[in-house]
Amino acid sequence: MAFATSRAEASKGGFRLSMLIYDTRFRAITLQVIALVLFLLFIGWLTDNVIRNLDAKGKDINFGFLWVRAGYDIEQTLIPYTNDSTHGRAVIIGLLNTLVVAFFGCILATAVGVAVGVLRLSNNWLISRLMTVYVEVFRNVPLLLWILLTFVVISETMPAPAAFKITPAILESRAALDGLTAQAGGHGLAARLAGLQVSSFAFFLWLLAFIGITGATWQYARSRFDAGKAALITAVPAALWIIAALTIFSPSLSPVLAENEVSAIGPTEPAASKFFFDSIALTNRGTNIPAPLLDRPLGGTEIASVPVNFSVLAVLAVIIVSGIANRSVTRRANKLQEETGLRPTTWWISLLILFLPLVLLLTALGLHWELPGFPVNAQGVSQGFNFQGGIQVMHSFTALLIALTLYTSAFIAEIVRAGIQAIPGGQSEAAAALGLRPGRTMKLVILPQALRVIIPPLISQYLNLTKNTSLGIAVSYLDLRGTLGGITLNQTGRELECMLLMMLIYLTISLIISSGMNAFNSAVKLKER
Amino acid sequence: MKKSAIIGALAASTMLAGAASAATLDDVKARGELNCGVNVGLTGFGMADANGTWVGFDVDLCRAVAAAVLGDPTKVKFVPTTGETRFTALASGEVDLLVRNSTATFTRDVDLKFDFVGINYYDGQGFMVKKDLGVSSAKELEGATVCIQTGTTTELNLADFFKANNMTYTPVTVQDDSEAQRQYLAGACDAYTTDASGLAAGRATMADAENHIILPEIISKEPLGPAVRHGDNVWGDIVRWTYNALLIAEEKGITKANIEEVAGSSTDPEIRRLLGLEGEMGKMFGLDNDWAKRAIAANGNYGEIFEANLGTGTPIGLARGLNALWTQGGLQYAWPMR
Amino acid sequence: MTGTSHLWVREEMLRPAPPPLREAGAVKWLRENLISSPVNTLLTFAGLLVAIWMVWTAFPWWWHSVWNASSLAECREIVAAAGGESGACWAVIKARWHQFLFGFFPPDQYWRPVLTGGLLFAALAPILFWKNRKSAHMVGLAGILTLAALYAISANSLAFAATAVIFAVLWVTASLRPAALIWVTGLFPFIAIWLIWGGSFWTPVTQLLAIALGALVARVYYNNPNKWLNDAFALVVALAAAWVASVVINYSDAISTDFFARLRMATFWQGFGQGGNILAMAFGAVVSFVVMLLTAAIWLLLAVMYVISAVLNYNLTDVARPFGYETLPASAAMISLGTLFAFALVFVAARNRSVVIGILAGLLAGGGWLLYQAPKMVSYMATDLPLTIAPVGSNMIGGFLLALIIGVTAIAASLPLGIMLALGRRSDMWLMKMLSIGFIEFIRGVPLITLLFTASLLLQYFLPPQTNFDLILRVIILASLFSAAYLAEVIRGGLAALPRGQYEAGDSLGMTYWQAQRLIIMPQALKISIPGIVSTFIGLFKDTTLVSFVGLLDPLRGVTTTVRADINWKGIYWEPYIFVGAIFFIICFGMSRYSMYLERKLKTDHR
Repeated sequence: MAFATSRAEASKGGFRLSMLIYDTRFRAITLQVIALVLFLLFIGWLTDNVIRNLDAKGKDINFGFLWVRAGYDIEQTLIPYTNDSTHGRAVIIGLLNTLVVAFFGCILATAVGVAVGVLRLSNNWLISRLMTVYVEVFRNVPLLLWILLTFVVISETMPAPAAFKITPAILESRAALDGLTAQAGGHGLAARLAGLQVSSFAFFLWLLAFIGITGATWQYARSRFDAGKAALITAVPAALWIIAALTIFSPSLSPVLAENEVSAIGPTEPAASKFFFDSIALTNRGTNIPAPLLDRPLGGTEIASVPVNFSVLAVLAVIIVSGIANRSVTRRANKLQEETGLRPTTWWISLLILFLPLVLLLTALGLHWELPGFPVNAQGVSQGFNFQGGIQVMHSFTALLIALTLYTSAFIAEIVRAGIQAIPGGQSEAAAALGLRPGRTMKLVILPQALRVIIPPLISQYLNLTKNTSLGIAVSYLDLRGTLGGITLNQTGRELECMLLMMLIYLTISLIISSGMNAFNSAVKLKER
Repeated sequence: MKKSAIIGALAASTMLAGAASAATLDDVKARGELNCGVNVGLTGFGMADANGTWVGFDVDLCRAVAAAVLGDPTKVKFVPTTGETRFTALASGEVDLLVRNSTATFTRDVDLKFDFVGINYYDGQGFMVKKDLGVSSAKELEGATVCIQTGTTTELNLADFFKANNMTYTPVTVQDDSEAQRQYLAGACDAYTTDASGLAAGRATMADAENHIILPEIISKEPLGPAVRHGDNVWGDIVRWTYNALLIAEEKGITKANIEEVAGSSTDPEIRRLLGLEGEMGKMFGLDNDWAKRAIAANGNYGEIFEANLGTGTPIGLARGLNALWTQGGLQYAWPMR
Repeated sequence: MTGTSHLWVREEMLRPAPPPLREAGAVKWLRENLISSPVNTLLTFAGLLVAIWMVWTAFPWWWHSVWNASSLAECREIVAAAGGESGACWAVIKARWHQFLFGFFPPDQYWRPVLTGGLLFAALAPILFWKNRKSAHMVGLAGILTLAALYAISANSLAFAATAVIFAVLWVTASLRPAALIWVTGLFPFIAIWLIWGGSFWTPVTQLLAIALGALVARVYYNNPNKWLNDAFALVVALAAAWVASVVINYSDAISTDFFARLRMATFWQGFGQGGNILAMAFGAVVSFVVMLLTAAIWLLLAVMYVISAVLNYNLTDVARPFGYETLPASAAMISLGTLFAFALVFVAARNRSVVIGILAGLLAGGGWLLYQAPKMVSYMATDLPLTIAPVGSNMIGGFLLALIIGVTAIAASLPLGIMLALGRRSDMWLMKMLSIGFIEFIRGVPLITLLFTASLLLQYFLPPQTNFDLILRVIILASLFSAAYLAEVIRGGLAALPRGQYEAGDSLGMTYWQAQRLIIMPQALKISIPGIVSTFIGLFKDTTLVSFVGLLDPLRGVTTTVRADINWKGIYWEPYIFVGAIFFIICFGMSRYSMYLERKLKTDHR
């Protein structure tokens, strides 16, 4: 039997039915036609089922509900929303909530992940062990558990807003204390030293930190200077630390009073207080942070019912322009360095270009901060249930963000570690042979190469994180799934429309992220010719 | 036709499991089991105990229906449903009957196409606050943070109430009842709102019940009842009359304990009709005449079921209130059995 | 000479001086590992600070653990009596551990899931160790653990004895002929399903018989030397295929007959563009346009077939009349055409002993038997020799049992699908490639939770009206599709890592595509992919906790919600979470370590 040795010869025999199966040229076509037919049949079957099911239930496919009043409230909204807004707007609110968690989550997870990954490779025994524990614990337990646990932790350990309130009882105690203080004497160092709570756990922690800081400073100083000078240098942080301890661990900053008298008076301060210069309050409901307010805002408009704030746009524009200007400055400096070998000093120019315009603009707009706080009446007694003013970041958001960060950072840490370990040892040895310091070796030799290994898996971690924001359902964070796929779906009973729209939106987000990151990946990829 | 025969064969061979046809009764009988949608876990209404046995007020209604239809109150498959999946489970035929504290509303009846065949619990939405908050009326909750369960009518009621009274609030939406109570107790919200029965049940089980008060305002009507699919009237009738039979039994003083005795001695024509001693009531919707007797014998009459799961003898300790018989000033009013 | 010079010559070596204190022992270790540089010192103390702080805060809570109590309130009393501020109440775990593990599975039947778990290890042994003696160790260990677990749950003695016998037999088999264990692996799915869901023993037997029948048919076909017999066989297979084709076409025709009418009539279109808003109308217009395009493309093919059949129909009507038909149904032509085509194609292929035809014949024989004969056999046997264990409904299954069922089933089911998708994505055939990419990217682009909601809310729309089946099965199907997409990417990575030479080697040996895949490509690609497959499995196993959102009793949220609904345990949070988290950690950590071990073991290249 003669075999066909060329295309021409093969076709000489004419077409036979068996060629559809045995001739590779035709077989591919046969298979694809069969697959196409089966696929179309499948899709047709699905579509038909949908239509028949809808008919049987007397339903239709109707997205009209998106323009109907939603009637429910959302606790955290980035753009204005009330229960009079439409379901469509609720969807946008949900989408923005999803995006904002995903955005901050990716940034934080990357930062924590890189730190943990690098530290895990550190030659410090303790730290590398701790980081291993961190990675293994966080990636081997379901994310859902971390979300639930974080939420329980922050909502159970933080004080209620009521604990920040100044009650009439507190005012009375204050008056009583003032009366006592007037009679009492001064507050000397000896009294403080005597009152130092040496046996407390906090003091033990302080001691550890003291040893660490002093020891590290000594080591650093000793590697550069002689013993005497090093001791002097070491004394500075040590002294600062001791002063801090005296102010913190001494019983109180107020004059020393007889203990029984003080204890007779009730609390003179609310049970909880704001921190960071009295501007941030952590309650079991959320984090209250100052809100930026403008005295002379530029106004705004609405485009397709989405508010556009000109002030924000102006700030963004200034930042972008400054960035571009700064880049041209550094580029000039680089060019000069390549030509002459000398780099002009640019840091202050950069600083000026980057920040001066922004500061000027914000001053012109009259930026000031609105601090969260309870409104007080004439006597100074706090009113109301919650903090007024400022921005309240709900704990559902915080818990979701923290849990996503912890969980994803464990994976990112492993990716970073693998990426760094993938660089052959010869590279760092070569860098050392050229006389590069370890920091520069990392920055100029290891990281650029490791980045190529790191980025592709990093993309999929970002995608995972974005998709995992949908677990906000566990803490009732009203993201896209919570609004469109949750309350809206429930109140309107339109499962098909809501689910399809939700999948479409998630798919779009995923595709945008992955294409964006892929573009970045091909930009840093090794250019081969 | 030949063609339809082939399709029938194909359809029969490709379908993986039983189909929910229009005749739910036939399906249930063929299956030998009633699929009943209940709450995943709500104290007093529907929850599984340590042995995995389902107990609760709603659960007992399922059992009564199973007893009436299948002759055995244990032939029930309880399908736990969340607030979000319950109506789909009913619509898709995954459950034959949904008894899950569901409020009968216009849209659920007309748009989602369910029949609420009775109201087994008249409820209303209320607020619970801590005593030390110093609030005595819901109208004083201006600016408060309120915990609500998502996927329910309470969200909409809450929004409407605050809007009507021109007040503002911060909602904290929560997935389930136990989580809502945790947040409320932890102080994550000033007020917790849900059905008054749920509030009372929750308050009764708190370690420091005396520190919590339920505000006087009831901001909505919540008629909770068993739901079936539109269009299967026989099945709807069976559930409706099983429920009515439990009510009539309470009216007539028939209990789980004395039912045999009453059946033997009673001359009251309505009791005789109810217990299948007179007439052919059961036959009319495809059951035998003992259906109501079995339903009552399963867990007792309405009052007994109430007392066993929610009543003052239980830790939940709810009074009958609106759910007393109409003769005792309540709203439970059975249709006559004739 | 000035006398003897007292030259001193050392005759023996000096004993080596001990290293300086700072270069030896613990001090050296400390210096090198903890305080080698200022930064390291700072890090060490910072780490110490965090570690001690965490232990210190959590310690009292652990120290005051309560193991025996009947309610949370009692726990708190005991802790308060012991003088603690807070304490762990492990009593809840002691009271409800069985629900965390098995859900509502009937307690007297616990031996069934335990035995299934033990057999799972026996079934895994040949996969993990193949002909290695280690598989015997594994079987032995699994047997001992199973018996211990059975003892712990105080199973009845019959179950205990049966388990002991089964594992003894397995162990002997594994010791003598480790490779024979692969039969256990093959049988496992059927036995496991029977053990968990219960029912008649004859159900798995008939299923196995169906497979045996199919395999027999395929084997006879391959080994049959007789030309006439072969042709007869080909004829039978082709006829069967033709029948299947006619049914499929008939069914699709039944769908399509009224499809356009339904499409037009459906209230479908009215929805778009409602709302009165210009944006709403634009949105509606865009969506309806896309839907229109899609449906048009999908049904174009059928429309073409319609035209053909209509033309043929015109001519064929005369032919049909003598057979008693007034008019031949429009679809008859299409059915006959398609049937003929299928018949011819299969017949030609079958005569030439195609691999695909062997599989097809096996499937037809086994499937036919399973559909038409197996139910009868089950009912006969059930009356004559009822070997039945109590059936357990899916609603009774929960806890880690549910997590394992979903995880293991989905990963096992997704492996073949994942391989197909990976091959499809690398295929030269444009359509296959596009379909694979579309499927993979779609599944990977949406969160698992939306797929689970699809299983619970949306599947009812996509299946024929009034079809309804078990939610666990629906979830497993969606979870399998989900992990198949991820596995496809893992395996694609493995395929891409193979040098081109491997493919070319296959070609040069004259192997067909499937021969090359089976003998050269897949063994290597799968080997490279094993760590990825394991980590996909770990991910899937962790994700099984999400099924609580569709009302299933997962260990993390489902069971804890149930437990907390009990008045005695209302308000308990930490203990169930920690317990469930610890079990998840043990399983996942163990698996990830195992995959690392495998990675090292399978590394056969010498670098």
